[in-house]
Amino acid sequence: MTTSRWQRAPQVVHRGTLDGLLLRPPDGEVALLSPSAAALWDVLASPHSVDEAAEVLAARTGASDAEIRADLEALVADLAGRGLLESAS
Amino acid sequence: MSGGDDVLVAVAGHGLAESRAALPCAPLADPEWDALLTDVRRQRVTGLLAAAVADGALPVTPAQRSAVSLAHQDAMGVALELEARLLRIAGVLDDAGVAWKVLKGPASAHLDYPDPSMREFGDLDLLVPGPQLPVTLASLRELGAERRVPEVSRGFDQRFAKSLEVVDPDGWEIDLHRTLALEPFGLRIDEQTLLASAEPFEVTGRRLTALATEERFLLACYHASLGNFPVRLSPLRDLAQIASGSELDLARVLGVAKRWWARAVVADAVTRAWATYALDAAAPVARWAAAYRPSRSERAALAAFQRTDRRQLHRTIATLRTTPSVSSRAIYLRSMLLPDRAYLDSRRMSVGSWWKRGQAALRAPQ
Repeated sequence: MTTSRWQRAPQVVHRGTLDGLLLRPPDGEVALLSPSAAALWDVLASPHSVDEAAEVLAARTGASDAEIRADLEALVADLAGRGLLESAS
Repeated sequence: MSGGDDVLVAVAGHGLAESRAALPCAPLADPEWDALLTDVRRQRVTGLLAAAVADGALPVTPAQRSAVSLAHQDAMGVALELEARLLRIAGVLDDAGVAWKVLKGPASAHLDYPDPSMREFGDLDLLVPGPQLPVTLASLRELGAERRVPEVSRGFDQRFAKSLEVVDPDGWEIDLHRTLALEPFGLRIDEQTLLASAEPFEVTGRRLTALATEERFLLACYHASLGNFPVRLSPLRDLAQIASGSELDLARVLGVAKRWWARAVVADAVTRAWATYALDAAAPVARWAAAYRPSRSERAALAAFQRTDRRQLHRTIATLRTTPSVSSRAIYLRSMLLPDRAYLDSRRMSVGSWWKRGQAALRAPQ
């Protein structure tokens, strides 16, 4: 998964809320992303691999790449499974 | 106005730089808070409450913050359901060659507010040229959407109707507008100006078209002045929001308003918005509104909307009085007196009960 590049799936509409980001895929249900998951959504406005996204988020938050990467693997799989992300390659 | 109303207005005015409506500097007690949240939902200004809390302008307790967050998620969930449908509708209407535009909710959220999450909405409003209403209805039927109430009489939609209501299979409402206001005001709006007025915006990369700023401002005025009575806070906020931007060309607004016989509507709506949100009375649009003196017929037409009883009857009378074309008046009167059977059936009325209702309205004390 770390070599694949990911991006937002087309036609996913979204809105910010006090507790994160609401997303609604074309054929799915509304999902609420936590602020940290919303940060990934922000990065994936353009295609990134998990490694690349982890680097960007590590620079933003001061956490280590490795720590973030482990979380992102699962998060990307979850969001892709819900039709919110798609492979860019 | 009560203290609770003051807070509600201050919430609905949050973010308007010139508003002097003040938010409280400590969390409200629970009874006042509960009443505020109920009113905020009813007035559809949940996004502005969430913004006031997020900005730290309205102090809240942790429990109150959770309640705002849930209410805002509910409201934005509705907005997203509708925007997802809007994107599907965009596909079928573009394929059918309909020259359509987005009105109100999504257009206002994306174009007029600094963050679309500040503006909630509960339905979709689309502007469609009158001659393209049939092809639009046919296209929406491909998505399973059906018209809710039949046409009053043959040809009424394209000549007189402000809008017609369509409902999709999940019960979401889509209003197809031929024009921006009910008669008599709507009959003075020229379709060519509406067709030419355009400003693009994007929803998740999909390019859509709204009206230009000045026509959006006029639509907000129509909505504020001729919509629900008593007037709701949300359309007044839309109006103030557009006016607070740098893009509004007041001279063009007033020029179009004059051609559309809408200056009284603009003056009335602006006066209400400025009074409600305690905005700067020295603003050019406010000074113009304060100085405008509507004619007798303008006052009569406005008064038909600003009452809580027998609005249809008074609107009909105002339309008959102010529509210049004799043939239009005759066709309109015939439609009002003898609506089609299908229309009456949809309202569970007979010709007799329709007439009785009209007679009762005429006989009722003024």
